[in-house]
Amino acid sequence: MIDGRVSLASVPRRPALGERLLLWVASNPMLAIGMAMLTLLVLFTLLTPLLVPIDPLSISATAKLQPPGWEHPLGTDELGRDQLSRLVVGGSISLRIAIAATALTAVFGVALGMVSGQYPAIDIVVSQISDSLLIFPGVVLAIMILAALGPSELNVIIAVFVLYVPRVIRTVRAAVIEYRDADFVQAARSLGASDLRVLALHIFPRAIGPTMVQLSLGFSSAILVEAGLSFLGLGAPPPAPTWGGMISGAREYIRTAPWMMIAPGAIITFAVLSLNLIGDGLRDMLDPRSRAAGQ
Amino acid sequence: MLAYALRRIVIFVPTLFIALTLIFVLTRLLPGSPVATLLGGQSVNAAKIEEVSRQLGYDRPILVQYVEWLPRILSGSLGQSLFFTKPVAEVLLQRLPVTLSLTVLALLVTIAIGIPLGIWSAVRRGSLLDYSANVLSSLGMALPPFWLGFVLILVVAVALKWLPSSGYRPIEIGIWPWLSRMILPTIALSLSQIGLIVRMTRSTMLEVLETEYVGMARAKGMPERIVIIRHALRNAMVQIITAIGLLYALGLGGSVIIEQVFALPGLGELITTAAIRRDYATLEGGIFYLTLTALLVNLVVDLAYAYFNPRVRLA
Amino acid sequence: MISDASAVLTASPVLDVRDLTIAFRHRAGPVQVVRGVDLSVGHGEIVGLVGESGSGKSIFARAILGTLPRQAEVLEGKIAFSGSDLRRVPPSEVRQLRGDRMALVPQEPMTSLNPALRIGRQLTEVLEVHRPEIGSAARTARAIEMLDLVGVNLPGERLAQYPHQLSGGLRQRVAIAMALICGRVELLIADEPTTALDVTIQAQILDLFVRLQEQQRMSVLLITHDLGVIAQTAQRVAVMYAGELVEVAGVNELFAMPHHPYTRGLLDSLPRGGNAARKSHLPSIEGTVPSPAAPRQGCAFADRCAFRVDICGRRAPMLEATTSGRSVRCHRWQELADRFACRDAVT
Repeated sequence: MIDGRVSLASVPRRPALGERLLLWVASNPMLAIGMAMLTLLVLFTLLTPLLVPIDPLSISATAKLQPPGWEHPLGTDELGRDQLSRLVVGGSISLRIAIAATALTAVFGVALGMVSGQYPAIDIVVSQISDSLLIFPGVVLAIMILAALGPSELNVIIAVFVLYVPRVIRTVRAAVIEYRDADFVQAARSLGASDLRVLALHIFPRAIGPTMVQLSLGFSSAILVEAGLSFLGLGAPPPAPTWGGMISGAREYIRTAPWMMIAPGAIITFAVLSLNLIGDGLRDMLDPRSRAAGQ
Repeated sequence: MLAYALRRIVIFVPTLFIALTLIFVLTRLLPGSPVATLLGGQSVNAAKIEEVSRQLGYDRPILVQYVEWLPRILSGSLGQSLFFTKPVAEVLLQRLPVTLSLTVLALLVTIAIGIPLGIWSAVRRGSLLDYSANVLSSLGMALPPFWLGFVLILVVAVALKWLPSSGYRPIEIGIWPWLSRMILPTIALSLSQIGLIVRMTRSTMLEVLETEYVGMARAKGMPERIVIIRHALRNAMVQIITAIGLLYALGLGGSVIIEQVFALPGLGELITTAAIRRDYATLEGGIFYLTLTALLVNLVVDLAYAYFNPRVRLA
Repeated sequence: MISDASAVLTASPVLDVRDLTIAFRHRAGPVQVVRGVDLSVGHGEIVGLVGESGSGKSIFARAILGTLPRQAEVLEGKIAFSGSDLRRVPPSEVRQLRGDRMALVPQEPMTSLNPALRIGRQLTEVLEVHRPEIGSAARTARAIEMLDLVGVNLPGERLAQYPHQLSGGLRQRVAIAMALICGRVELLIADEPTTALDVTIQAQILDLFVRLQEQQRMSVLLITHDLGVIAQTAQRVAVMYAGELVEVAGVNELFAMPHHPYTRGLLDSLPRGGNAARKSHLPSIEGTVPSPAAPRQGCAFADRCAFRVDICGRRAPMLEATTSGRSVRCHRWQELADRFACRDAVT
């Protein structure tokens, strides 16, 4: 044990920034790759309009259904609109909807989950409804909501929110119930802490890990669901270019202009994959129990 | 076991009730009177709309409509479809086999491929197989199923001409005509579910393989095959089965979109069109059927759960 | 008693472990959790292995059984069971030995029975694997017989029950029945068999152990952190500290005159019957077992030792043989032994 290597490692030394970054990447490669992919995606949506300034809505009768080329790197659609520009704008719509829906889900999911874990009387109602929503086929629910409220960006946000909030409620509720009677909670109560204080300061910090994991997965699902809904014609209404809408528009030309379909699908896959990797990485980092099982 | 089954059925009653109420409220929120849509082609005047509304009972207070509607839909008389001019039940029964073929096939494929793959990658963790299964499942969960559907059509049907690209043939016509049109939709629908179940199975198996009773089985000299199947998997199944119930609900949702891609005349396709046409009766009936199948699958899942978990069964 | 123990030692031992070193694989290199351990268990002998949690005693047991966790590996040493070195025997043959000629009684009866399988199945499957010649009816009969032997009431009905329907004491009896069901056990490894049980149940299970050991003429390696358990059952004791044996002795001699300061500390922290006043002032050993990954120079116990001198921090002591089969790992054992004995005489 009087091993040079071990005693060297025990000497405290602050590694250089680059080295620390490398160490961090090595300790959680999934999170690092996911973050890198997401950064790439965000840079793509921000920078492309500057590099290739073409109006995504401008119609051109002479440039219909053009294959990828110099002028239109990803080709044009049936109305002669530039596919790359549409992809970029679609991306910002997609991300906007997913971010808004995830934020809503976080706020209401955490609040309802904590209340329902703490107060059994409320729990009966909240759990029953959220369990029912989970059994209900999600997309059907979203279709009903969008059919009732009409297709718009806001309503897609609401539909995605209703779809994913039960999962977060269940996660938070489970954590509250797990710790409700824990020693440290009883100690805090015996010192006169209020329910709100106990929930916010003692129980919530322990629910953050699983909730973050659930939310990051909800975020990527939101992108998939948004794409699916706009594919069905229930997303942000035309002429707004959405990824799902682009795929839907491309299906008539699947034999004549297959490239129209490839790019939007590939970018959805890329976005969802990056978020799933981030979710997995977060799970490894924040939820040590599943890390032990996952290694 | 029987008492447990009955208890589960009783627990499903409020769930069904909430689902039905949700269906009713949401369909009533649909903008635009269905009567106006129905009469869209004719010269519309207020008196005519009112007359048809009265015939259909849409003019009465919403609560009265609800109280009348609930027992009616539960008894299975779903009314007339405004557009198909035949009973909704008849339309639905025509569509049901399509959706069931797709979702049940996808679920079977998911279980048959996903669970063994998950077990295998847990047992051989860190191996090349484990690594490939992980990459495959990550990718499977990230691919949008409808896009995957189109890519499959493009490659397998259009370019290679191995399988028909779309449409549906009832199984009565023949196994192959039915199956050949089901293969691509089933792949498109099940790939993401396979990804989910592989990960779920793997992490559950890893957890169970670390338990003391698995260690004890090894200490008793049980062969590894028995340790994994009899001791580990049996306990892991308890959690895996719960996931299968949620998976089916997910699959039903996915089928709505996949049916659009492959032009399959199923419930999902029906619901989407009914929602756009504001065909209340058909919409309600279709969603009711989907909800019922989801509930039934969940009931089966609960019973299977109890089968694998004696603590639940004997409680 | 002393002559008994040494007579047993001269016969060829059932288990003979030599220089066993076990390490956990880590990113920074292997970390040794068991270091150069020599230990033998003679025929019909009960040997106690004592140590705090984290001392490496459970990993030692798993190494003998050949069921080390995947991160751990035996670096060197010999594990001889009935004369054959298990490290040279193919794993499939070691598996055939487990549950048949060497068996384990686990620590946690609550978690070591499979919750999804009936008691009967968990018992009979051992026979299915190791005694395939026995028919199914005879297997069931044997299971009932074993449950009866270990004092489980209504044994026939228990077969159809699941672990969650049994109390902790009953489950531990089932686990013992499971270990002995093949009827050919030569070495029984009991890893903290009574730690999770109530005190009254503990005594019953220990009695059962001693009775069965005499009946079946088997050898037992009894792993525990509780010297009280050892006093009731074992003939010889090995004390483990931070992966090393620090003292090995006959049980009477060890209790009469501990040589190692650590053993002394363990004995001091035992409550003595009849002396109620002392119970409220049980001395305990300050500090904790050092991490096996920490760099070490000198004696592993030095940091916690009340008798440490200069040399303890510089040079690691060797395990020295003393008289009549005793051994101790301490620079100062000779002077301390007298002192420990004197203090005992005074109190």
